[in-house]
Amino acid sequence: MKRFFLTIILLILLVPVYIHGDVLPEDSHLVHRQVFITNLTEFPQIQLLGYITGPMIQNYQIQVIEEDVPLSKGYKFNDIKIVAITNEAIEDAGGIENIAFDLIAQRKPPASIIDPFGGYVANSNPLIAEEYYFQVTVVTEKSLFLRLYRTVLKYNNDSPDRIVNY
Amino acid sequence: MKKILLIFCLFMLTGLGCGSTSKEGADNDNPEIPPQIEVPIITSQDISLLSGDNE
Repeated sequence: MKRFFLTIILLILLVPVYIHGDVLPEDSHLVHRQVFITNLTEFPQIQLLGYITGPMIQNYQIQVIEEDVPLSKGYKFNDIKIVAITNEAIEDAGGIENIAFDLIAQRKPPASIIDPFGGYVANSNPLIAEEYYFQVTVVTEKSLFLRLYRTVLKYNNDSPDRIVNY
Repeated sequence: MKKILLIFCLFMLTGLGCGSTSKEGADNDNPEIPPQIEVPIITSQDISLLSGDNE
């Protein structure tokens, strides 16, 4: 009986921790982040894919990345990595849905990119949005290269957007 | 009882109980930016190799 009550007390202590989990810390606000890849149509022979894994996803999820459409990984605790595939390979497999990307990832690990979930900052920081612009620069037989060429930071205090070109 | 308390303490100490679901994100204006990202390309050869493995 004593143990039962102790367990109940522990559960009561732990429940608020989980309830608090997805809540923003006090005196902070969200920063909306968007990551774009802008010149994909220049490389029509290749598809760029997001390889998404996470606690709410069984195994993995594939997202076809489109030009000028921000990357999305779904749930904020998911992880998105990037991999490219030739149209020829898609045809050989009979479609993207027939490809075991998890097995291929063991040989060719997908690449990491900036997390498209921005997170939060203290209210003393006026930053409210970040935009990252990548472009494909070089394509070889085995890989392609993405280069960050512009960052745009937006603020909530009437400051002008900060645009950084690289 | 000691075991339960020990588990509870470990739970809290390891951070599992301390808002592990909170995610700090853009805590500054310049998050770490990789200069260039190399993305692997899956080719027909990779698909063939995969088919070979499955057979």
